[in-house]
Amino acid sequence: MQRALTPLGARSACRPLALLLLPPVRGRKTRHDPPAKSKVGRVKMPPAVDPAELFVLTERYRQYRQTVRALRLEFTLEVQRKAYEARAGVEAERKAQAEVAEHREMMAWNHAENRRLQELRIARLRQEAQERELWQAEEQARRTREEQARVQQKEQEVLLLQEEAKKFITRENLEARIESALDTPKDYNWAITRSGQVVRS
Amino acid sequence: MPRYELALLLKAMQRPETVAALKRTVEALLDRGAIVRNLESLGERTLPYKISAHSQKHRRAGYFLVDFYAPTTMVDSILDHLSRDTDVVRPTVVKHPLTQEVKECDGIVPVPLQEKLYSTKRSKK
Repeated sequence: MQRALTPLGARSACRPLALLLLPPVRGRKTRHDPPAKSKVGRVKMPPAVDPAELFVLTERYRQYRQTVRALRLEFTLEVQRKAYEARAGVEAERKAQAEVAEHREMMAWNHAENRRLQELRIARLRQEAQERELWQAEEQARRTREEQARVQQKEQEVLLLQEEAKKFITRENLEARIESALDTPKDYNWAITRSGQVVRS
Repeated sequence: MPRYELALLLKAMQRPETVAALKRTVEALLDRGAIVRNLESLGERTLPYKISAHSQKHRRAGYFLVDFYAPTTMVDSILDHLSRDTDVVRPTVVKHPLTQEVKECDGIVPVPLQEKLYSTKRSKK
């Protein structure tokens, strides 16, 4: 199997190198298949350990991890310190006091503005009320004048009608009026030009 | 009370009969609650066309104008009464022309004849 998998071909010199580079791979058999008869007494031994090398490695790893842990703790402490200072440090307190003072100042300014605007508003409303009063008085005067004019006109009309009523036909002067009407025939068959000249033809 | 004008055409008669007819008419008006303002005569004239009334044909008639104030309900009844009078050729009651408002004349208004050239009605396909 491993012979078939070496990429460098079936060369005897490359076989140990290929075996080292490639990890064991399940090829033909699955894990549920029983191992072969040739592998019955096989005891797998781990690779040999060089104690000096092991010691050096562990020592180096220990130092590395120590350094990294120290750095990490430094950084976390810095972050926490910054958070604490942002929350309850000297600068934060000064800023809070400044904000409170600014707020108070702005509220005071707001109150002052409101008072000023209220005075302006009161003045404006008074002005408007005065103007309205004037306008209403004028309207009242105008209405009374018109009313008087109307009454005058009606009185004139009534007087005219009274004058004309004297000329109406009643049962008493009926016959006289009929006679006079028959004696004086009227003719409406005439036209008038723009200049006022009467045209009869 | 609105002002009406009765344009009365009376048969061409002698004077006393005309007087009697007019008296009858005006008294009918006064009986129904009218106030007669004035009575005018336009003379005895030839009618523009022959008018037949009460199975008689008339060519000449006496024109009379009576302007009076009357309640609106009375107009119908007076017309009915006058239509029955055999001496009356044609009674006509109109609103008095002097009570109509004088409208300003616009002159000859130009009509756009192009719009009238084709009918705007959509023909059924």
